[in-house]
Amino acid sequence: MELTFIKPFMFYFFASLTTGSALMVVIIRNPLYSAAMLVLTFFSLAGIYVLLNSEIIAVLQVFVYAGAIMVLVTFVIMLLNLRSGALINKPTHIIRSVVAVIFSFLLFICLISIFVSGNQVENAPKGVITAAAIESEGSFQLFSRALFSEYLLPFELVSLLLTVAVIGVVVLIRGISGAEENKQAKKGQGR
Amino acid sequence: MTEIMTDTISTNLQTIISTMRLGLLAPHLIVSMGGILLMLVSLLKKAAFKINAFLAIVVLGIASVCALNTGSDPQTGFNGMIKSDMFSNVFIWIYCATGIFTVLISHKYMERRKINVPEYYSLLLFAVSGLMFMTSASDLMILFVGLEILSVSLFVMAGIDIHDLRSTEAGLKYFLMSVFASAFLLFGIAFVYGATGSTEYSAIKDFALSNSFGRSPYLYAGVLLVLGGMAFKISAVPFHMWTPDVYQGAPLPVTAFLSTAPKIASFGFLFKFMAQFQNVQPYPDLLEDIVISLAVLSMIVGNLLALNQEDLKRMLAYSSITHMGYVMTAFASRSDTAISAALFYFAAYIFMNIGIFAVIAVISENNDKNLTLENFRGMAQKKPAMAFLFMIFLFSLAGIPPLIGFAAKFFVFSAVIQSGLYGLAVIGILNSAVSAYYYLRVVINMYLKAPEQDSGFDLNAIKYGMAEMLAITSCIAAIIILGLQPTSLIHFFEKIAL
Amino acid sequence: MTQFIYMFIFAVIYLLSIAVAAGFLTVVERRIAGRMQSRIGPNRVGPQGIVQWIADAVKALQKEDIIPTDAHSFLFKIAPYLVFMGVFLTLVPIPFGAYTLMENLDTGIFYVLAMASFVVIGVMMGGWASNNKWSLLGGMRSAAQMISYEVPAALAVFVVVVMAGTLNFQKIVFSQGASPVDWYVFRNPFAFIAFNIFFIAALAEGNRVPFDIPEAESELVSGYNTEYSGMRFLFFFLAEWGNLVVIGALVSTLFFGGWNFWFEYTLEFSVPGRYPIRFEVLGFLWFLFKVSIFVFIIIWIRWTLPRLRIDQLMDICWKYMVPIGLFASIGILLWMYFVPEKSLADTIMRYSMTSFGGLTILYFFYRVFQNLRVTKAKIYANPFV
Repeated sequence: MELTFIKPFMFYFFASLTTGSALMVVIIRNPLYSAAMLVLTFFSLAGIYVLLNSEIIAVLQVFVYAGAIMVLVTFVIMLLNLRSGALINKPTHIIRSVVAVIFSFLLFICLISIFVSGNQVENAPKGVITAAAIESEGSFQLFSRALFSEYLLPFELVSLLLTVAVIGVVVLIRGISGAEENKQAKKGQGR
Repeated sequence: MTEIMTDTISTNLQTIISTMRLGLLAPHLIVSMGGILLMLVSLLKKAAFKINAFLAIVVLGIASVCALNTGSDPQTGFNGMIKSDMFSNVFIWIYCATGIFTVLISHKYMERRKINVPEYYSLLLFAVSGLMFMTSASDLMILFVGLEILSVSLFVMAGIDIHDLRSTEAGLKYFLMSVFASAFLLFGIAFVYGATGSTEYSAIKDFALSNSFGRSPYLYAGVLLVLGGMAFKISAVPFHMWTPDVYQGAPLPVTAFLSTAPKIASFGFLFKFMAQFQNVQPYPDLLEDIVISLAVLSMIVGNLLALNQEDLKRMLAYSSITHMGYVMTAFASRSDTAISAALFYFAAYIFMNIGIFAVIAVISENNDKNLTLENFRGMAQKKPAMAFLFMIFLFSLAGIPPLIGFAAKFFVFSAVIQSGLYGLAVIGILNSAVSAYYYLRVVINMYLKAPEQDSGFDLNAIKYGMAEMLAITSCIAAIIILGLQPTSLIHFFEKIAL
Repeated sequence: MTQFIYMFIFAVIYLLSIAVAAGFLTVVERRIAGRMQSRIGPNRVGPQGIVQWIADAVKALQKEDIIPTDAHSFLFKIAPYLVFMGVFLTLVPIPFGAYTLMENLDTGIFYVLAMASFVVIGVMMGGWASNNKWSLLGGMRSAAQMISYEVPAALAVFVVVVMAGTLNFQKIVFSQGASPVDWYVFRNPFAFIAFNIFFIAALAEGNRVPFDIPEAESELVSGYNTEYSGMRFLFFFLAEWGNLVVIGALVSTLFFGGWNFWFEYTLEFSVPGRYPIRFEVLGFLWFLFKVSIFVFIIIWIRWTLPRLRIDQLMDICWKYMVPIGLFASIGILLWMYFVPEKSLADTIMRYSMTSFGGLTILYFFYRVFQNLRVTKAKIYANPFV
C-alpha cells in the first residue's frame, strides 16, 4: 500500500506536532498538562517512526513511554496533587534569567551551526536495514534477530540493570516501612 | 517447516555462542553472579550482614584472580562489544581492590549506625560489575549500560541511611546529577552514532581517520557531549557542584567508594575512547583546549574551594576534584607515558583516599555528620597512633616526598612536560603546593593546638575493629612501600598499551 | 488517491459498526441482567427492546454537556475521545475473516497492547480533570489496575507468540487450524493456563466485574466518569461495551482458532482469488459466534460475582497471576523444546485436553439440568418476555 503522495504531508504534520508539543511541555506551568503534552510528543514521534517503516519502534515507543512511563508520571503528579499554584512560583532573578537566555541562545546557535555547516546527509553512513528488507522479512523479525545476536550483551546487561533497580527500590522502601513498624511497636510498648 | 526453523535457530545459536567468548567476561560475570548470591543470602535475617561481608570479599578476590586468566593479548568478544586486554585487567584489579577495602571499612561503621542492610554488599558488587563493564567495553552501548548499573547501585548506596536526611539528600542529589550526566552522554552517543553509523570504538575510529574528525560536526558535537557527561562523573569543574553535598551526606564507606572507583572508571573509559582519535590529523584543537581547560579549572577551583572549608568531608570532596584535575592533565597530554602515569596515580589515589576515609570512619564513630577541622584539635595527645596514621595519609595526599602521592604526581607532571605542555605542568605543580596548605591545617590542628574541652566529640571513645585496622595498615604499607619503590609498578604500567 | 478514499470509507464503516455493536451490546447486557435477576429489563423500544440503544443515544445527545466550573476543561473534554479511540484502535489488526480486516499489521498483538495505553491515559485524564475526589480516586485506581494487569496479559500473550512464532494475528489464526484439537487452548497445559490468565487480565483491563473497582457504584458514585454527562458520558459507555467485543475477539483469535472454521484451510488460501466468498462469510459468522460466546460469559460473570477489594485485586495480580504467568511462559519454552509438534506426546496431549475440555462443558450442562430438576424450579424457556 503505497501512499507516497501523502507521506511528506504526514511527515511535516507529525514533525510540527512533535516540536510544538515538546515546546509546550516546557512552557506550560501545570504539570499534568505538560505530562499530557509529553504523551502527545511520544505519539507523534511514533507516527514519524511509522513513516520510516519501523513499526516496531513506533509500537515500542507507544507501549513503553506513553503506556507505562507516562502513566506512572501522571500517577505521581496526581498522588502529590500538584496543581499549577502548588509549584514554586517565585519570580526568577533577572540576572539569572538573562544569563540563562544568553546561554541557551548560544547553545542554539551552536547546534544550528552544526546542522547547517554539516550538510553531510549524503555522505552519512547508511544502515543495512532498508525498507525492502523490512518488507521481505518483517520489522519485528529483523529487530529481534539483531537484538538476540549482535546486541545480545547489552540486552542481557539491561536485565542486570533492572534487577539492580528493583533491589535498590526494595532496600530503600523496606527501610522506610521498617521504621514505621518500629514506631508502631514502640507505641504498643508504651501502652 | 518447523524443522527448518529449528535448524536456522540452532545454527544462529551456534554462531552467537562462538562469537561470545564468555571467558573474557569471567570477572564481570562472577561479580554480578556474586551480587545475586548475596541477595539470596540476605534472606537469612540475623547473620546475613556478616556473611555477606565475608562473601563479598571472597567474590571480589576470585574475580581479580580470574582477570589473570584472560591474558595480556587484546581479545574481543560478543561481536566486538567487549575488548579485554591488560589495560582493562588493571582496571579490574583496581576495582576489586577498592571493593574489598570498602567492604573492610563498611562493616563496623554500618553496624554502628544501624544501617546494616545485607543487600548493601550486593549493591556494592553490582556497582563493581558495572565499573568493570565500563572499562572493558569497546562499544558505547555497553559503556552506557555499565554506567547505569553503577549509578543505580550508587544512589541507593548513598541514600541507604533512610533515617538520615543528609544521606537521603545525597542519594537524591547523586541521582539527579547522574540522570543529567546520562542525558548528556546519551545525547553524545546518539550524535556519534548518527555521524559514524556505529557505536563500536573501532568503527568510530575508522570513520574519524577516513573523514577527518574536525570536518564532521556531528561527530565533534557527539564526542564533546560524551566528554561533558563523563566530566560529571569525574566531577571536573564546572560539573562539580554535586560533589561536596553527596560526599558529606553519604555514609562514609560509600563516600570512600564514590570518590575513587567511579571516577577512575570514567577516566578509564575516556582513555580508551579518546585513544581512537589519537592518530587523527589534524587533532581537533577545540577538543584539546576543552580538556586542558577542564584540567586547569578543576585544579584551581577545587583548591580554592578547599582552602576555606571547615568541614573535613567537604574539604576532601574539593581535594578529590583537584586530584582528578591532576589526572586530567595526564589525559590532556595524550601520550603512552601519560597513560601509565595516570594508572599509577589511580593506584596511589585508591590507597590514599580509602585509607583516609577508613581513618575518619574509625575516629568519627557515629558523629561524622559535622566533622569539622576543629574537632581534631589536640588529637595527637589523646590518640597518638591514630593521629600519626592520619598524618601520613594527609602528607601523601599533599604529595610530600617519600610517600606514594609524591611519586604519583611526579610521574604525571613529568609525562605532561614530556609532551610539551609546560604551562599545564607549572599550573599543576603550583596547585599541588597550594593544596599542602589545607592538608597541613588538619595536621596542625592535631599536633599543635590544645584539645577543646567540650566539643561534643569524644576522641577518647575511639573503638575500631580488625577489618578497619586491616584496611588502614595495608593502605599505609602500600603508601610507604610504593612510595619508596615506585619503579617496579610504573614499569609494569608502562608495558600496557592501548 | 482513490485508495486513500477507500481506506477512509472503510475506516468509517468500521467505526460505525463498532459503535453499533457496542450500543447493541448494552441492550443485550441489560436483558441478560434482567433475566438473571428475575426481572424483565428494557423491552419497550422496538421488538423486545432491540432498539433501546438508539433511544438512549438520542436522549444522551439532547442532554446538556455539563463541564464543572473547576474542571480542567481541555483535558476534561478530550478524555472520553481518548478512551474511545483506544478501544477502537485495538480492533484495527484483528481479523474477522481472511480479508475482513483493516490492516494486516506485523506488530499485531504488540500493537493491541500498546493501544490499550490510550484508554489508561484517557481514564486518568478524565478522572483528574473532573476535579472531584471520587473521579480522581476512580481514575487512579483504574490506572494502577490497568498497568498491573498488563503484565500478566503480556506474559500470557508471550505463550501464544512463542507457539505461533509470529505476532501477526492472521498468521496466528493460520497456525492454529479449525478443529478444536488445533486450537491453542487445548494444545498443551501451559497454553491453557495462559488462556485463563489472559482472560482474567483482559477482564481487569476492561474494568469489568469482578475487577470494576474504578467505577464501584457503592464507593465512588461512578468513578472516573462521575462528572460526565450527555454525549461525553456516552463515549465512555461505548468504549466500555466496545471493549467487550475486543476482549472476545482477542481471546477467540489467540486461543480459539479465530475465524478459521473449515478443516482444510491452510495458508495457501490466503492467496487472493483462491478463496470463495461464501467461506469468507461463513468464517465471519463463525468468528462472531465465538466472540458472542465470550461476551456472554463476561456478562454472565458480571451479574454473578461480587466485586474485589483494591488490595485483593493487587494481590491477585502480583502474587498469583504474574508468577503463574512466568511459570507458563517458561514452561511453554521447555514444552516446545522437548515435545516437538506432531510427535506422539503432542498428539496425545491435544486430544486428551480437548476431550477433557469438552467433557467439562458437558458435565456443566448436566449439573445445571440436574439442579433444575432437583429444585423443581419453573423454567421460562422463552427468553423473550
